[in-house]
Order: sequence, then C-alpha cells, then structure tokens
Amino acid sequence: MAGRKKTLNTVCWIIGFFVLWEAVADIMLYLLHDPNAEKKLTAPSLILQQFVADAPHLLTEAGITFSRAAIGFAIGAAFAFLLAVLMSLSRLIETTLLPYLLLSQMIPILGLAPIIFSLVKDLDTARIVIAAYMSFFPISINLLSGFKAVRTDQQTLMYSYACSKWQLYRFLILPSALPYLFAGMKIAAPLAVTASILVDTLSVQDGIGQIIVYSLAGGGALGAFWPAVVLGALLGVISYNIVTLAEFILVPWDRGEAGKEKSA
Amino acid sequence: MSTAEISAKNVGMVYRDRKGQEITALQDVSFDIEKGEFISLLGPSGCGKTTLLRIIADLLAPTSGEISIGGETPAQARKKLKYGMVFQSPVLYDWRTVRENVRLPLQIMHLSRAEQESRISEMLELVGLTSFANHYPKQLSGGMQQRVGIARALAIQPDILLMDEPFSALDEFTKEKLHNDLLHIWRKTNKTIVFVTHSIAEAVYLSDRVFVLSPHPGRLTAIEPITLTRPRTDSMRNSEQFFELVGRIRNDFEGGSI
Amino acid sequence: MKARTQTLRWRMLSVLLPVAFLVLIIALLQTKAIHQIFGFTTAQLPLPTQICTQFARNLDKIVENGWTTVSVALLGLILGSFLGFLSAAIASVKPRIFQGMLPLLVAINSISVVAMAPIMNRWFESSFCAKAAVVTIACIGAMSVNAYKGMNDLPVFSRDLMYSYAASDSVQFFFLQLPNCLPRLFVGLRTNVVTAMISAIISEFFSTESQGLGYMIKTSLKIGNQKVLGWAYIIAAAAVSIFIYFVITLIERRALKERSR
Repeated sequence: MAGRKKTLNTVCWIIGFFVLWEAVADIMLYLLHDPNAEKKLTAPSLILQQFVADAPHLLTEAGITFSRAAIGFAIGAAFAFLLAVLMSLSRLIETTLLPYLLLSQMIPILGLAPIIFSLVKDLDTARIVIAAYMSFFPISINLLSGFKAVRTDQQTLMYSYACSKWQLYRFLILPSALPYLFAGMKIAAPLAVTASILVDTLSVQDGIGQIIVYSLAGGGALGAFWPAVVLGALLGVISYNIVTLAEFILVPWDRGEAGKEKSA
Repeated sequence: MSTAEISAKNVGMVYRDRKGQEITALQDVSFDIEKGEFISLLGPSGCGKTTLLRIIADLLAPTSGEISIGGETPAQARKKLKYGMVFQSPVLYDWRTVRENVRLPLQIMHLSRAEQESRISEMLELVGLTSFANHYPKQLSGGMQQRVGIARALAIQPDILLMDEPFSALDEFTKEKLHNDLLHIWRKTNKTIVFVTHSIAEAVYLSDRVFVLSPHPGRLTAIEPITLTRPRTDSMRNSEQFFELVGRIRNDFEGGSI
Repeated sequence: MKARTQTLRWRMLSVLLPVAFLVLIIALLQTKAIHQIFGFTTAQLPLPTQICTQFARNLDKIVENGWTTVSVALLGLILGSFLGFLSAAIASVKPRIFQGMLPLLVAINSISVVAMAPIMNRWFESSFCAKAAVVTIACIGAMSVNAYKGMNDLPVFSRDLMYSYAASDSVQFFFLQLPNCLPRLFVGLRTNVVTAMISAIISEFFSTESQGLGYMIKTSLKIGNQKVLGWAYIIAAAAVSIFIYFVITLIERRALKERSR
C-alpha cells in the first residue's frame, strides 16, 4: 500500500514537472513575447509537434546512436566479465590491475573520447569502442566486488561437497555476483549512450548528437534541436530501464528486497 | 579396527592468537560413535564443540591425534560425500528456490535428472515442504529455512549428519517441533547424527549419549548415556527422569572448571 | 610466522606489480611497440617523452586552463551537492508530499551532459554560468539518493526511541537522521567529484568560450600537430580529478574517524 502511494506521489511530481515546463515556456512565448523564448525553453506540447513532424528522421538517427551504444556496451561488458573472472582467479593479476581499476573511478574517462576518436578513424568503430570503453570500468569493478562478497559459510558448504573449481564458480560465485553485475550495468548503460552521443557531436556525420550540433550551429531546422535533446535524454533513461527490466527477469530472488526498498 | 562409525584418538587443537600466545581449543579428546547413534556435543561457548565438529567435517585439521570415519580420514570421507552438514544459519542460496537448493549437491554429484527429481521430492516430503518447493528462501520463515538445510544435507544420502547448533536461532516452539521432526527423520533414515548444542535440555531430549565438553582448555569431561525410551515424546520433557538427567549433566559442569 | 612473512610479501608486491605494469606500458609506448601492433603513427599516439616535453613547455597554459575547469567543477559540485542534500532532507522530513520528488530528480540526473550542455548555453549569457549550471544539475541526483538513504536507513528501533521521547520532526532530524547520513554524504560527494569533472569537461566541448581543459582537449586534437598537447591536457584533467578525490577522502577519514573505531 505504501509503495503504491509513493508511485502515485512520483507520478504527481512528474506531471507537475511537465505542467510547470509547459506553463513557463508558454508564458515566455505568449505573455512576455521573449524573442528567444523558443530557443531557451520550448514547451513540451510544441516539442511533441516538432517531433511528430520529423519523427522518421529523428528515430532513424536515434536508432543509429543507440544501436552502436548497445553493441559497445555488450563488448565492454564481455571484456569486463573476462577481466573480473581473471582477477578473481589470479591474485597476481588482481594485485597488478586493481589500482588502475580504482583510479578509473576517480578520473573523467569520458574526456578521453576525443582522443580515442582521433585514434580510430572510422565513426562507427569509434562510437562502439568508446561506448565499450566507458562500460568496461564500472562493470568490471562492480563484478569483482561481487565475486569478493561471496559469504564464507556458503563457500564452506561448497567445500564440504568437495566440488570442483568450475562447479564453485557455476553454482556459487557467478550467481551470487549477479546483482553486483547488474549494479555495474545500471551505471554503465547510460554512460554508453552518452559516449555514443558525444562521438556523434564530434564527428557530425549522423546520429542524434549530429542533429543537436547541426541545429545548434544554425544549419537545418531550428525545430529539430529540442526533440533531439529530449530524445537523447530519453535514450539514456531507456537504456537504464532495459537493464532494470533484465535484472527483474534474471534475478527473481532479489525482487522481494527491491520491493521492500522501494516502499521503505 | 572397531565397528565405530566415527572414532577420535587423542585429538588436540592448538592455535596461536595475534599476540603469538598458544591457545588450546581441544585437548586429548577420544571417543567412539557407533553407527546409527544420535550424539550431542554439549558445552558452553569456548569449549571447542564446534571446533570438534569442524575437525570431523574436514573443515579444520587437528594439530594432534586423529579422527577416523568408517576407517577413512575426514578428507577422504568428505570427498566421498559421506556426511551431510547443517549449519547454524541455514546457508541457503538466495538465487535458488527451495527445490533448487536441495538440488545443489546432487548437481555437484552429477546425478541424472530423474534421480535428482526423485530424491528432491522424497526429501521435501520428509521435511514437509513439498508445497513450498518453488518458493525462494527469503519467502520462508526461519524454521522452514532450516528444514530446507536439513533436506539438502540428507539429499546426498550420507551415512552421517553433522549439525552445528542448527536450531539455536529459532524460537522455543519452533525448536520443539523441529526436535520431533528431526527424530522422526533420524528413525526413518537410520543416520548417525552428531549434534552440537549449548542447551542441556535439547541434548537430553534428542540424544542416545551426550558428550559433555568443558572449556579452558576444551576437553571431553563426561559421556552421559540418556536412558529415556524411544520414541521420545513431548510429555517426556516434563518427566522426572528427564529432569534428573538434566540435573546430572548440570552437575558435570559444576564439578568441572567453567 | 610463515603467514606473516607472506602478508608482508604481498604488501610489497601490491606496490611493485602495479608500478611494473605502468613501466611496461610506458616502455611499450616509447619503443613504439603499441604503434606497430595497431598501426598508429606517432602523430596519432604521441610518445610519452613527447607528452612530457609538451607538458613542461606549456605548464602555464595548462595551469590556467586547468583552473578554469576546476573552478567550474568545484562550484557546480558544491551547489549541486547542496541542492541534492536539501531535497533529501525535505523529502525525509515531509515524506508524504516530497518523497516522489527524488525519482524525478534521478531521472533528470540521468539526462546526459551532452544534451544538457547546449540547453544551458542558451539559458545563460555567461559561459561560466552555463557550465556551472550543467555541473550543478549533474551533481544533484547522486547526492540526493545517498543522503536520502542515509537519513532513512536507520538503526533498528531508533525511530521508536525518538518516538518514545516525543521528539519533534526537527529533533529527530538533527539528532538522528543527520548524523546517521554522514557516511553516505561522503559517498555522494566522492561520486560527484568525478561527475563534476566529467560534466565540466564535456560542457567545455560545447562552450562558446575558448577556455578550459575540455575546450583545449577538443581543439588541440583537431589540429594535426597539436595532438600531443591534447594528451598533456588529458593527463592534467586526470591528475586534478584524482587530487580532489583524495582531498575528499582525507576529509572523510577525519570526519568519520570516531565512528570507525
């Protein structure tokens, strides 16, 4: 019951947010006659109109950006998985590489995007490589801490069954680290999208970022800017929710907990 | 060798604390446990009862003496899955349903799917959890979780059941119900059970013999045969004979140095 | 005894191995081994010595641009963290009305900087304000989520204790919720350091003003013979970020010293 009330409250806030946005934008445009009103803040209703008018083009470009981000995300996640497993298997590898993984959390790695872009000349490859690279760090570090958080009594149980190393990973370590993997992927997915959009803006060939930069520079229709920005923002939110949905399906045993946290 | 299922000869366990001082957790412990016996290891905390159980389970190696399980070392016995272990906490895997938790050791043993299924249903039937087979551990009460732990331990069809204070976290009513369930299971399956506890009444109600351990250093101070008839019933908990046995064991402790 | 020498050995290795790895990478770069494997030219991927020379030669420019970025990042970090904390506090004291606000903030927070920066450029005349606004918005979410958790994941029965004292909302907030959320506050702050640096740099990619690490990284990489300089700026950005992170960790240790005992 409490959870439902909270959801209702959130919905009210979201509706309120859009109503406020619409009101401010309309006041600026119709009452204050601000010449830059549409540039500064376009009303949601108008953005929707602009979006519908240009939908096929916008969606195609968004699809390009999003699919490259998704491929990069998958590649980054695969490498992250590999590294985390290697590090949990070998203390030597872990000791060598752990400091760099920790450092990666302290530096603005997205700032490296232009450099990687200058190394990889092909636009599509650049988008994928940078999205992969951005996804890699948060996933590997979360997964590794998941491997390390395995409870000792559960390991003792496995020891009492005299199981093999492979069985230890398959039955205990991998499944118990799954929630951590998803925690990392929830951080990584919007990052991959941001990385992909960023490369769009650097290359100015295609993708949703290209529309933003292009309309910003005054070329093309002014009307494309706001729908593109909103769509770009939505892509991040969508990517996050896809991971959350995957977690809901693949980690059914944690659902009760999550529900508890939401209603608390 | 004798016919003993588990026998200990002069088992000792000494370790060093952080300051490098020697601490004797167990000293010169010897006993024989016959096949099918229900034995309790009873004592206050620090008497080494859990240490002794972990040595039998090959989770710890003794610093002196030896343990034999049906003529084999604990390591050999563990690798043949000769014993099932039930821990203080149920140690269930959150990501597996009740059914899948019981399946875990069977998968590790590479049993056929059909064999797995038949054993799982048999075990869940035995502990009375058939209708909860598809629940996740977090959806169960503490007592039910511990029953899953027992089902999982029995699923590998071990000769021996090692239980480390399995009911200590449960309330009194649940505990007494599980005592009867455990005795019922024991009678049906004819296992040898080694049961660690710090409750005198629990040890008396369940056991054939109670091994009394005292701390500083941990040692076996008395072995008390329990003469209550089988099967045990709840009314026995109020019998004079029961109180007499409890009193006698309490005296064992007061005579020793606790 | 044996165990102790082993831990000592691992402690030494935990310093030696990472350093050896770094040296190996630098050597592979310097000897152009990496260039040969991936087919890079030194114009694309400069040698470490080249980067060092450029770094030293342009130190004044790097410091100047670095300061521009850091001032934006710090201002936004402080403002955003404060707003995040404030919203968490309001939501904790008056949950009935305000608890639904936090998911909205998190959603706004997940809007990528790339989309946010152009909007802010339109809102603010001064590019400094525009950049600071981007950083501020980016920093609200993490802090509000962490502070809210800290204010509401309370020790068992602590609320009941306060209730038994007939404590008012404000007493409960200042005596229970605020001190309880302190560790979480630092978690949010540490997350925000990196967020602030990233969003400051990215918004400089879009900025109309030709200043700051982000602007320099972007432009120097576009001009062929200045790519080396771009690398120097990147390294400066990383160094500054690590520095701020460590300062916050130090403050955190001081502040939480009593608790960890």
